[in-house]
Amino acid sequence: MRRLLAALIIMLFSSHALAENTPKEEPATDELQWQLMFELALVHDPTILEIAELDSIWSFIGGGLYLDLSYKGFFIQTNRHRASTFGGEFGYQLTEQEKWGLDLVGKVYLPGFDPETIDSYNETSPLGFEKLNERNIGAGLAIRYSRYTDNVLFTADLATLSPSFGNNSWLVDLYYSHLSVHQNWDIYTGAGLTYYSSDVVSYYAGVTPEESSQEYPVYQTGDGFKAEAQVFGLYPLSKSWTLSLGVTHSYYSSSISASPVGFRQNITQLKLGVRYVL
Amino acid sequence: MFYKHCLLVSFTLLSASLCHAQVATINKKTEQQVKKFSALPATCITLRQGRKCFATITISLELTELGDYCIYQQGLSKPMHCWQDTPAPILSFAFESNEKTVYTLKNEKSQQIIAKTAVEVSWVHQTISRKRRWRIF
Repeated sequence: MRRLLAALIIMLFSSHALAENTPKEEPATDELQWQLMFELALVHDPTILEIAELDSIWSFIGGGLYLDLSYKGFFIQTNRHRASTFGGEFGYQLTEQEKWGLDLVGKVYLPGFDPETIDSYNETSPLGFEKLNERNIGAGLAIRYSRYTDNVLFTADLATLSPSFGNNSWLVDLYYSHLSVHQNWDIYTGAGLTYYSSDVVSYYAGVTPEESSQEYPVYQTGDGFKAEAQVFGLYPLSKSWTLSLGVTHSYYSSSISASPVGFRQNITQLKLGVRYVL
Repeated sequence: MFYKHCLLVSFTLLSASLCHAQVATINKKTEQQVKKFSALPATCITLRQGRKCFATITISLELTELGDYCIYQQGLSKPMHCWQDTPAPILSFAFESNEKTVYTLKNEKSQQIIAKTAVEVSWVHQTISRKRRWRIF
């Protein structure tokens, strides 16, 4: 854990050293840039909770509104290429150089869930499930280092989840994406690694003595991680429509999946959709 | 003096109308020769402005007379396809360009371009700065 943090700090400092040898920072784009898209898709998007089944046809229909906006360094952006369901984020661009940048970012890193509500909709919930406390969404404030070339994007987020999960809740989220252009296709190949501090895992996957029951024994654990790999493709259908398809596989460490709460260790998300670009 | 001016003006007008008549004759003749000369799809769509667009283009044409014809890509001296005294072919080829491309049909005997068609290149997303491309769009 400390090695990972040290590596990130070294990387941040080395990029500052690099900055001294690179041309002056370009001024932030002041003009308003925005784009709005609608998506309708067939999805296979299981939640991390084992108890939540995909049991209706609506579970396989996804999509939504994507708004990207930037003005005087502030930005809102949606996640198009990473098949995570928590794609929206807002932030402020601290600096942007030719090949790297630093941003302050606010985003949701983990979904919340309310066992009492899930239990009321599920006929097969084990006894005691409703006794578990609600988990807040993992909203975090991060400093993001980005490095980019023509076809590669690498980002490293160091985020605190203290407002949601309490003190010492933090994570490091590393993400690498490579763009390959094959005729009219854009193919994004990506890999991600998210490290969760022990307080994050304990809050999310732990079972306190107050929550415990016969089916849900007390569970305290250490830190954890999620690894993911993905392929995502975009193809133009017309001046306003694009075809999007992708697959993401996520793997959660045993400290999370071994929780009595019941989390999936492997999750595969699939998407086939069309987007309308305004 | 006035008479001279009138004569000059009249002569100029007569020349202009003669030239016009000649153009009209050529166009009419051309129209008679070419019933159809079109490229499909007429527009190639790429994801981003400035990118090369790829498509399989089919040029179909109908001519009223047999003869010696060639199809050219405008700007290139080498013809894409030629044929002589045979029915007009249907031409399919791999298109690869980031800008509008014009194709011409030439009567090799008269050395006249008798028809033009084009494939436009359009895009979904406009070009933005390289850095913003990843972040915003």
